[in-house]
Amino acid sequence: MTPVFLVAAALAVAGALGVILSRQPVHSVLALVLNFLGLAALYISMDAEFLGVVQLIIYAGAIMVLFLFVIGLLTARKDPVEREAGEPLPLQRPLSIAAAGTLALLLGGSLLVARFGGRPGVPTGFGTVKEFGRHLLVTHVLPFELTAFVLMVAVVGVIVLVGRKQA
Amino acid sequence: MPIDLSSVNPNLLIILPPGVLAVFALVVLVLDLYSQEKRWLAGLSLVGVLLSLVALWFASRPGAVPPGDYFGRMVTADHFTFYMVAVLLVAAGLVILFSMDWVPRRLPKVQVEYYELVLFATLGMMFMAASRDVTLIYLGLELSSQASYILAGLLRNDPRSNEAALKYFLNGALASAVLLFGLSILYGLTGTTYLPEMLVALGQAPLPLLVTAMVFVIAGFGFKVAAAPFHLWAPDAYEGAPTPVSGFFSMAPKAAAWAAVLRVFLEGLSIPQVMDKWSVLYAVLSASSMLIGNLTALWQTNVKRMMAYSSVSHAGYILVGVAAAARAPEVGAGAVLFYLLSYILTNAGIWAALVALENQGEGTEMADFRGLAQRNPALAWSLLLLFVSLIGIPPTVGFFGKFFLFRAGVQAGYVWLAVLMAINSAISVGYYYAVVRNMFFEKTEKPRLELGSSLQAVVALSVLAVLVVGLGSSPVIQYAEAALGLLGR
Repeated sequence: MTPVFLVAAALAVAGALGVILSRQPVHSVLALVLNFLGLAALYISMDAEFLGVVQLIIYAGAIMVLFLFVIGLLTARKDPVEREAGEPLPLQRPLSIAAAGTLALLLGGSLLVARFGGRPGVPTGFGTVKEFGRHLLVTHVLPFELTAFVLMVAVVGVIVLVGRKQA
Repeated sequence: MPIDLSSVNPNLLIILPPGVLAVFALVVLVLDLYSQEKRWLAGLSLVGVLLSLVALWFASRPGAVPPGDYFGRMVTADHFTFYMVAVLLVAAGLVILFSMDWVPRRLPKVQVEYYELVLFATLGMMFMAASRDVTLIYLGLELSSQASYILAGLLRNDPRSNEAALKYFLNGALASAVLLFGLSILYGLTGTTYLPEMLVALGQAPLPLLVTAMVFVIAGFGFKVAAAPFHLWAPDAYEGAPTPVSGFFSMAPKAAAWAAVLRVFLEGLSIPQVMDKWSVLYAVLSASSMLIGNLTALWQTNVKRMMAYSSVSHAGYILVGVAAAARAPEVGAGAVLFYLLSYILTNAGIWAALVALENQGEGTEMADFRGLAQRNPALAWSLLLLFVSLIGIPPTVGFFGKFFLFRAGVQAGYVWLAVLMAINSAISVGYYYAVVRNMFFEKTEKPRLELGSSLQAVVALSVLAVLVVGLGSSPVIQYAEAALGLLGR
């Protein structure tokens, strides 16, 4: 229980609560950014530096901007998308309670296994930038390059199927 | 600090065939932007495929590349790789050749994209066949599938093409997810994606989870090869997709999927506890594919759709070999590999005839074949020979393909399956004969059907190969059976 952990965990929980408690979608998104910041700090404090940096750059950076764009575009219209408060979807509460219960059970179980199960931990260097880079560019260099082709085909497909070029 | 690169084990020769193809695909992609005249780019794509074949010939000479795994154990140099990559390149070359007249007519604005996508799909399939690591097999599958989805929807203003692309995409994405789920359970059980290591580690894995993973993998691949009951997307996708694309679907992606099936099951899942289980499952899939494919094909009036059901039944025949490979690996896998080649060589000519009809502005209904013997006798007789090969009558390559599958089935103790295959071959005469009857015994007023030089070349190559590979099948089947001997078993 390092101070870093406490502060980061508190940030993450506060952000998560903010996501579900705020009335304005924009506020939810900003709270989610806070949550991601806390998570990134947690990852880095556990030596998973690569995961932490990716969390910041991709989630807090790129994906949140996408969210903000979507919300900006949706709410730019006249009719509000906000649903009346106090009118939950049918079965919303029982289902969410059941889901939360299952998740809590799973988390508690894995905590017990991690603490007392005697399973081997992750190998040393796991999650560091160097280890990740070694896997990506040494052992998996061909799959990595092939991924580039997969993305390229997707780009060609988008241009062909929805671009201005009429077939 | 320098990085330790010794585990990479690079070898430029083994990567040269896909490398050449990738370079040509990219060059064609870029030249598309700068050239007004597009037709020569089709020729350039074909040159890429041929050069890739030449590179493969260099790599496959004995001693050129020592058998083993390269690039971090991602690419395997063995007879299996060389054989399958050659088959896939031949299929891609034939597809490009029979599309050359069709594409400028029907897809004037996206001509070059068509060839790029065929090349990219072939690239993915080459890696599917060449790898013993499920990471690369899956990525290759994904590359070829994505290119295929787009190819199916190239006719943007034709709702049936849109429907074909959407159905193919949704079913294919689901199949990929199912397959990936099964593979990830296997990874979780063994901690490795490299099939030979997976085989060693599977001995300690709990059997129920292992069987679950196996069923998911079978279902995922079952979708990709359109084996009944996972075939429902195939008829709509084949009928709606542009005709040369349907021909491509029936030849190349399936062959690559079969290669992956053989790799995964014979190298990764061949421990005795599960071998019998997947063997029986594949035997059941085989029986249902043969029966459903053949019986449904009897009622079709559209030849593209009929060929889709025909390909389902042929998946059933191939499954006889896969099921047999569990008990007699060399014979079973050799028969499958030989059948893939024979199916591709035969199908190329038939799809070329369908493309020829569309080139003259006609459809691909059964009625469009009326009086073909009058309109182009050479084509009609060629088609007759190719259908004879699909049915499996000597002296064509189809007969030898079925013979090897039959022999594998009997050797593995699946006599009932082998007999069912013979019965189904007899049933299939019914729907192929419907086309033949229309060609030879119906009269028509329509003018002569001209093929054009590239289509003539495909039909001639197809007929020639059906006879030559059929009568000279012994070196091919020997190579195919030896392919498995080198898989590292």
